[in-house]
Amino acid sequence: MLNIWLGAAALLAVLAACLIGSTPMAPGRLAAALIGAGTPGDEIVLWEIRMPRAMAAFVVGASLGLCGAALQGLLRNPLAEPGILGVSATAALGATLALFYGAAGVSALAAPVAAIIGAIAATFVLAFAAMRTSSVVTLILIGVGLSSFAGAVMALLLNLAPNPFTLSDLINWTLGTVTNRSFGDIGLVAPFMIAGLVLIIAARRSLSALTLGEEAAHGLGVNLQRTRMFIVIGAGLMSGAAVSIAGAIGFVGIVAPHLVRPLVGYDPARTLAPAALAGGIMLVLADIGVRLLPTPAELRLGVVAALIGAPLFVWIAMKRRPVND
Amino acid sequence: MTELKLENLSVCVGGATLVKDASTRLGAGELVALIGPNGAGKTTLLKCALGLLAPASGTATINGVPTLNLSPVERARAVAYLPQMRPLAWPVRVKDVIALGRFAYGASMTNLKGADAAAVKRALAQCDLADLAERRMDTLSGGELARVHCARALAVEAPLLLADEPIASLDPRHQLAVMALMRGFAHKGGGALVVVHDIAIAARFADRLVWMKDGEIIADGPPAQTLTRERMRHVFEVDATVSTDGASSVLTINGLA
Repeated sequence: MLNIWLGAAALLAVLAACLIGSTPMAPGRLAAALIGAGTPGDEIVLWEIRMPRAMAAFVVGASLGLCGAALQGLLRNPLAEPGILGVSATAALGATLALFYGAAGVSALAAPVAAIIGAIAATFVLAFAAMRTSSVVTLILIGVGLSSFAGAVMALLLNLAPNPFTLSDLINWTLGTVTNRSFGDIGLVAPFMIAGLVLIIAARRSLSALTLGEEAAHGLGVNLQRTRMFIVIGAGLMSGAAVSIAGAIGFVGIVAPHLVRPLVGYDPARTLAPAALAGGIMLVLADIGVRLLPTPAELRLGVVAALIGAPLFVWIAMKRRPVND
Repeated sequence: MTELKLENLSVCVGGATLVKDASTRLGAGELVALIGPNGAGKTTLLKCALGLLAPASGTATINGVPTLNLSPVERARAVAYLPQMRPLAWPVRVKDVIALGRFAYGASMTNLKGADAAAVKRALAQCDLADLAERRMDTLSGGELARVHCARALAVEAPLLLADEPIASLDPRHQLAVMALMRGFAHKGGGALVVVHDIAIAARFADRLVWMKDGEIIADGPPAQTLTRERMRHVFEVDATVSTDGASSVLTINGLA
């Protein structure tokens, strides 16, 4: 039921996002363009510009929301998010490296592909660790290490940027945006997202069992190492793909699961779907906000997400009940 | 008939030998208390019996199959495990925690069907938790929490149950209530191996006492045969008086030995 409501809200949010833009388009013209009966101009604006942008925001938000819920279930910590495992940062680093060395001039797909390669490199390191260690803390620490290293290399690249154009490209990746995204950008990473989704769904019941801690979950019949592998690789694929569409966007993965968790009785498995939908809605709405705000230069989506998300994150952390974990 | 057999188990972790050449068995219809001072290797022995830890030598088998070779689901269906540490990541409801006992049968936490729902209902009734089923775990007292975790282990309806200190930090009434649940489990044909620190309670409820000291099992038998003044002095370094009251042994601890 909750998922139906959220799904309807997501649909409305995407439609609302399609109504807004530099060319005014009345709902009637939007409806005509949606069913293929609009003017060629309207249809180009809708299908080439607004719909891809809205879908990109939704897909990125949904991936981050789902990854957040999955990682929080695995690590039993409501403050976990895709960034914590260092995959977002490493993916952004991959994209940044491609831009810095001019690969983006060779092919428009170079940066997204590099981001996915970065994400997979990070997930490989994490998966290797997950096979060898039984400690979740170790995984988090490896994530912190990966993030710090990726951040340091990115800072180095910013420092060495040869010209202002490269600099502005780099900033796009670090701040996050869905401006000028095409269906091609989404389609390119869709297989990775679907693979990640399948892995996370396959491990969802084990996330519920982990509510009782790793030892009890093991006793209940959870294959701990397999669960860790599935969630780490699944979240790596999905968040890496999300970064490759929109750059690094934070906090969606923390806030979305937090909002829906009480509505599903705190069951980590049942948190996944509504967290994805809520994450998608949040980012579509944030992107509408980006376009409506009368600022001289359009705000970056990642900046708006952080402006709303960071205070919420602090609030969640402060009112977190002392649970023994 | 499911039987857990430990044969000459030794466990080494980081160069230290935590369990040395331990052998015992757990069969249907018996309640066995595993007793010994802190650090004697009781928890390690349980984990090794479950296949959560690999032994350096020796074997732990369930009906002849090494527990290490069982898949997690096969093992979980044969042995329910109640660990000493019972963290809770999310403030879920009582019935959801108990529903997790049905994990090995494919049940989901908040959407139970058929046989799983029936098993959870039985566990709730056995542990006198029917009225608390909808309560959130973070609103319960220590005694209630202990009963919920017992119910979770009983809901597995496995032939064997290993419980690590199920009555630690409970008041006398709840200690007796939880031990009665273990006794009831054995009475219905289950085999329970329970780590208990209250020797008087262990002697009162258990069919056998398995005594551990410094990683070794030094005695294994009914309370009437193994609970003696000398053994209390040797294992726990306390001076105690053992008397009999009808069929059961009564223990009085007088002081440090």
